[in-house]
Amino acid sequence: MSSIQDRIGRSFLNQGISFTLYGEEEATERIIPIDGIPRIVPLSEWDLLQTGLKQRLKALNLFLHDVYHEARIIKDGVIPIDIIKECPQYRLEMQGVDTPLNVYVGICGTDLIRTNDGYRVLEDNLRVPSGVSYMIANRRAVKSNIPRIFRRSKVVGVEDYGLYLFETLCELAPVPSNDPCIVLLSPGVFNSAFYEHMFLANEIGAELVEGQDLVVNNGFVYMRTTHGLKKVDVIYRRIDDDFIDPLVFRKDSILGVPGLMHAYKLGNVTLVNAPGTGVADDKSVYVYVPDMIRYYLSEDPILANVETYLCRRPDDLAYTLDNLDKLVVKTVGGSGGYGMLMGPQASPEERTAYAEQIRANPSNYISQPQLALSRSPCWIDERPQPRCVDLRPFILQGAESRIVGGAFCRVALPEGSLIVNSSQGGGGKDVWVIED
Amino acid sequence: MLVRSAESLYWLGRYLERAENLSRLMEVQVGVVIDRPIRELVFGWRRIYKHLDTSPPSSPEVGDPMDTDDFTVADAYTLTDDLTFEVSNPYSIWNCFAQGRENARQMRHCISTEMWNCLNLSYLRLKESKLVGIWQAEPVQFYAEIVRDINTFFGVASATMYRDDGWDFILLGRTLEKIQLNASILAIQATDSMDLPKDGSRNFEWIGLLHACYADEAYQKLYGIEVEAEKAMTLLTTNDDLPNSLLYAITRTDDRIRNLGLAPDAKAGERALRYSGRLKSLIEHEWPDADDPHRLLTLVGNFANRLHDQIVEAWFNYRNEQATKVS
Repeated sequence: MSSIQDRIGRSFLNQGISFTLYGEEEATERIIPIDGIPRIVPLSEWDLLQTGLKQRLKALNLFLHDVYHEARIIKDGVIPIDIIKECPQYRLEMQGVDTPLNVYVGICGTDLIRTNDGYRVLEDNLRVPSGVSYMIANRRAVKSNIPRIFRRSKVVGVEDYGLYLFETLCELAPVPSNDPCIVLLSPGVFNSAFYEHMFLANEIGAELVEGQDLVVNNGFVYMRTTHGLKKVDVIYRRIDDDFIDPLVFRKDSILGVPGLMHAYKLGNVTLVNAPGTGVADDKSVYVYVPDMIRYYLSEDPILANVETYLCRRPDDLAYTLDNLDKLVVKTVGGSGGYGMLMGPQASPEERTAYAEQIRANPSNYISQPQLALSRSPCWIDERPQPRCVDLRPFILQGAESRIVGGAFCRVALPEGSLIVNSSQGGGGKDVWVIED
Repeated sequence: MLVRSAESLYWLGRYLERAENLSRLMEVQVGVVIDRPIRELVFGWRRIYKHLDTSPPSSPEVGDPMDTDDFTVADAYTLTDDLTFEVSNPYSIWNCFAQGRENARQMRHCISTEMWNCLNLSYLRLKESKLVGIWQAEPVQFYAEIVRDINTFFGVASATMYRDDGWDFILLGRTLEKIQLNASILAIQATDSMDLPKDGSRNFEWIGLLHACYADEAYQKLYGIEVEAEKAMTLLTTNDDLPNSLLYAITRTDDRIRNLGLAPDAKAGERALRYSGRLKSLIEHEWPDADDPHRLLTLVGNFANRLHDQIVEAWFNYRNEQATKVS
């Protein structure tokens, strides 16, 4: 087993499958540690997950269309208007903007955890979710290193992800076509997920572009090629809203394309995901997703949320402050594990300091009980050891919903740790969906 | 292909050629250190530093090495470090190699997986190397290995890369760099070898250069074992069958530009073609009657610089307003 683990690790290094870490003096190319023991998910369990994830994404897309048009859900009192008004991810610029097939989120990476009573959704990542390349790279590495076990186990494939993504993006083109000009817009090589951007661009046969490669001319978007300017139909953007167009959002952005929002609003180019989708994965709005499912689909939610306290509600705030040593507190707009407090692990001083921050701006925080994350065996120090894991499947929404039978499984590597984020030093694991 | 990708691939070609060129010169030079007289040693170091148009780091023990005959083995250590690993020396082999690899890393999607794996493995190996280790083992072998790695990379590229614009730009960068490097070293050779005392000893400076240009075996086939300056110069400059001759690099550069076809900035593209044509005619028509090889080779270097500027203008920095729209 140790030699298998070594071989897998080395194959990542040699291929340069890396993730860049911030906060160090120079951005460093870190190889995401991958564990050689796959996580097993029985097919029956997976089928339920799949259905639940598709249901959830469908409701979230309906919510996004609604919130940028008539806002019925607010008028009907299902979601308080304040939550939306105060959400920095709500983009006024998107009001009344129609998207192809009414799809706002074409690519979603939902974080699931497994607790004593089944799977729960921890987070809907609806902006620029990452990690899917590791799902595929982990699979390639693991299957070539334990080929016989893999073959015998009849594992559901994940290799079709690129094809599914391509089909989804084609369906979302301004004019439906089999051959639209698709580009992947990346912030560039210094971005933590640059490896993934490159990987996906290759998988779908798209050009990997940066803001400087695109120009807007007469309301259309073009890319600068060695033969001149070429019109672009679909932009799979891996840049946050704030940076995509300095004329509309942050003026100091050098990553974006001036005039891009103008072309987008004219319907001449599709952005996937659409700007403003962050309003639906805001952590205060998250609390209302089960209500959205009931409201828009008249169905019961298949996947449950994690119990969550909104510090904007006085009762929840009091409860949170009283129980900081038992709770995990997060900022409503945060992601990547930055800026959160793990109450039980934090020192009393850290908790006091954090409580101050919460009191100063309660609406910016939510809290959740620290859950007993499920564990999975990992090969560490020459023996199998239990480590906490989560699960991030990727769901695609075009004319239809698509999902491959697999996910990126993140592992909290240090003993006893609950933090799985790649940006916080987490590792990865292959996920095998296997017939029961 | 995207302009930015094309530009990176162009520089990938240039940097790796630069790393290979210096590695070849170092391979010859560390060989000289073993058993050749100080005179040859000094000549070799000077040639390299003049070629790079930079000066050696002054080492406290020996004063300014350029002033003295003391390019001893101890200095060889300092100079080797400067030319091989020194991070602050933009010409060091490590820097050129790392830059080349960085361009490839950013453009992995534009080159074949085999190319990337090949280059990344060499990079990881070079990263592990230490100067002490090199001198304790076989320095000649060390440089020969870098050269082999780079040649293998281009071999793998030739065997696996799709022949799109990216391929043309990698080769264009490589051959244009070759023109500049060859013109530079030959121009130095044309004057400096004249200053050496004509005492009837073997033409060590040409023997070394022929080896560095993969031309020693070709020379033997054509002219026999006695190395003569004039014949060596002719071979390295005008022989179109020698992959490292000046003419060979010029002809291939011209081919690549023609292959790329109409540039987004068409006028700059035409100028680029004119310059590559001019370079060809300098070697094919003016060289045979030239009485001042140094002047002509300097001219070749100048035209190569101008050619680079036109390539940048025609394909990389063109203005959006004047560019054609393609479907």
